[in-house]
Amino acid sequence: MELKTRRMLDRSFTTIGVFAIVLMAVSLVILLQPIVWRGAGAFIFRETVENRKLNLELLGRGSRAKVEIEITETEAARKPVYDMMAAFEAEMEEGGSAFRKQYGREYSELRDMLSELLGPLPGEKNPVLIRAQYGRTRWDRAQVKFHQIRYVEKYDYSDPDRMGVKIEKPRSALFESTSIEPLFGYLEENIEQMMLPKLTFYWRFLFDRSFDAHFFGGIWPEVLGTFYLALGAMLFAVPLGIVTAIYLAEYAGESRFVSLLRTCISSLAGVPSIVFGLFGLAFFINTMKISNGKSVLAGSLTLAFLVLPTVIRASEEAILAVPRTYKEAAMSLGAGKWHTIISVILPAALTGILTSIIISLGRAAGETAPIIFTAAVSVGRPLAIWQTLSQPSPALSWNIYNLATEHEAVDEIRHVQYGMVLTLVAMVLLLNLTAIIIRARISKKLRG
Amino acid sequence: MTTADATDRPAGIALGIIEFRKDMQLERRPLIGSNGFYVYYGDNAAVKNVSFDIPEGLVTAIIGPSGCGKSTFLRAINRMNDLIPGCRVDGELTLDGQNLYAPQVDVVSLRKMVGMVFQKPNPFPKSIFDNVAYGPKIHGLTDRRKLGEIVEHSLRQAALWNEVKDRLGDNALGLSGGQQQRLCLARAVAVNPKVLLMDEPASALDPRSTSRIEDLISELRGEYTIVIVTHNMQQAARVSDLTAFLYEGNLIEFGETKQIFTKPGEKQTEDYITGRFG
Repeated sequence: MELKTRRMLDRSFTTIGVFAIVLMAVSLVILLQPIVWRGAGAFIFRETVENRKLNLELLGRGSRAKVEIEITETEAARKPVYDMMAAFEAEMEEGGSAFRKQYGREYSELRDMLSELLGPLPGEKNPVLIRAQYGRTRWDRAQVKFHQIRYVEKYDYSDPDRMGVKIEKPRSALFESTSIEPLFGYLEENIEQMMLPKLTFYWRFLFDRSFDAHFFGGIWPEVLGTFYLALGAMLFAVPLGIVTAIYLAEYAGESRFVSLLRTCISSLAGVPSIVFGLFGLAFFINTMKISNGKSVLAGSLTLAFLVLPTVIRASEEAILAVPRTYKEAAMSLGAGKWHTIISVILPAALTGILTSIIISLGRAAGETAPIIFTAAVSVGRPLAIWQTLSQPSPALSWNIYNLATEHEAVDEIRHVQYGMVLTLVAMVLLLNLTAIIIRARISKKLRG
Repeated sequence: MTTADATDRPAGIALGIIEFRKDMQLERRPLIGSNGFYVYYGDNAAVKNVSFDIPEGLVTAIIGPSGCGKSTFLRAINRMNDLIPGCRVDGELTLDGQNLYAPQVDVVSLRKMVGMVFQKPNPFPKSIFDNVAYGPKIHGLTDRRKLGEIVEHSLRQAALWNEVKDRLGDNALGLSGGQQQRLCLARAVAVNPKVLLMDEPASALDPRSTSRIEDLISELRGEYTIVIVTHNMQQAARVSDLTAFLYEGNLIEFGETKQIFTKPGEKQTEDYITGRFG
């Protein structure tokens, strides 16, 4: 080949490689940006006075005196609203059926939305659900609600060739020249005094349990559940995996049976994770009856089976990669086989084994399908360590899915969902980072 | 350590000008004996019908062209060949009169008696101290002070003590190639073996390190029975008392090094040492 052609080939390969890397970096940024940005919203957000009230009443956090002053302040700002509503209700009472027919439905819709924004209206019974006992606790949700109060959302279907076109009309037009019309102007001007939004850093999001199906509170049960499941899986998979790897690499030799065994282990790594989940349900729970229904233990065992092939193969590779000369040296000094493995081969293979463990740990933390049938529930308390033997737990991976698909008011708690995603990603990244650091330390020590 | 310069040494293999050891005592008793000894890899015999006795306390060199079975024979002495699948032996190989391949032989205690230094330096990825202490430790010594004494003594024997005494905790892989090989020698003598096997111990080293290893062999002579396999005929002539010449698995000639290199009994030996083949 001509020198010119070779150079061109080299250059084009470089270009393609760089292009691929840039593409991946860009997509990573595009992927991570909303996770980080919106996930941070679970921790740092503007809270309204309702949130401070909730914190005080439900959890006893914050200064009672300060919050009470704020409540008095906001009550004063809200009073004209309530007065206007009372006046309009009286007007309706007197106005006769025609008046009621014209405004009844519109007013009750408005009243409901105001109750959602500000919390229970004066004279209302205290509702059962916590979410109805308080107004909007987050300023971003309050603004969305406020927008809904100001504008009526309508769809225009007049053009058959187009999808319905959204039109927003001021709600005040519905109540034109009634006594409640000034309410909208008043809200517009005083909404901040009524809610007192303030930037807050809710670091306890990680360590609080959730209240009222994730409407309030944090994700500690999920974090803890993920932690238990991943660690439990490692507890079973690591010793079993390393012992198997030692057997395969040092004792098994080369027979038909052993190569069949290797093939089986490799194929096991390719089995879809949902199949492992069903296997866990059928084997650990239904057959072995290790727990009465789902439990963290059953989930850990299932996850252990999922990561076992990875641990075995990677550890075996690591053991086989240890130079034969180390083994010879140890043997020539009179070390037995077992001693050689423990004192020379395993320490030299430690980096590789550790890598496989950490990768598996990250995988076990993130897997969803295997725990659906074996360990995960949508809401739960943080478990003590002995409770993991018999009780199920929520976990980040499964609850991200669960919140997105099953929650009755998913739009209201998007921040929780993103917070969970951010936490899970951070956990896995942190694990991998630890792995890289430990690996670097050990291989530096080994290289001298 | 003797500070023999390279210039003191014979420059070439030209017959007659090599100075041999004056203090040869061939009346020593044989320590390792082979009698009709074979080693097979599968169906191929790598060592065929080899019979000769290696006397105690001397340096015996095994020379021969590549693939002649000299390393195989050496590794048969501490049964390192056991690690190779499909390897089996026939005939008799004895140490101190005891058959090494008898079923009741404990390989671990055999290897404790027969130390080995390999072609490529192969220290463990551990500290210098732990490398030397490894052998005594696996044989049950735990006393830290005693271990320290053994480590110092062994490193002194390997002429490495002065270079590493201030950094015994450093990783052994940080040493130079020659230092690593001397460390391996120290590691081997730390278990106090009777026999030291050396499989081309200097072939991966530069000339300076090679000469230090050769000096060491001369110093250890008498204390240990040393069997050295080498490609380098000058080396065999310089360090050994006795020389065995192997060719295609057969023992062609065995005798005093002086005699082998000056008046070889066989035509093949002469052709080999004068460089006509090999």
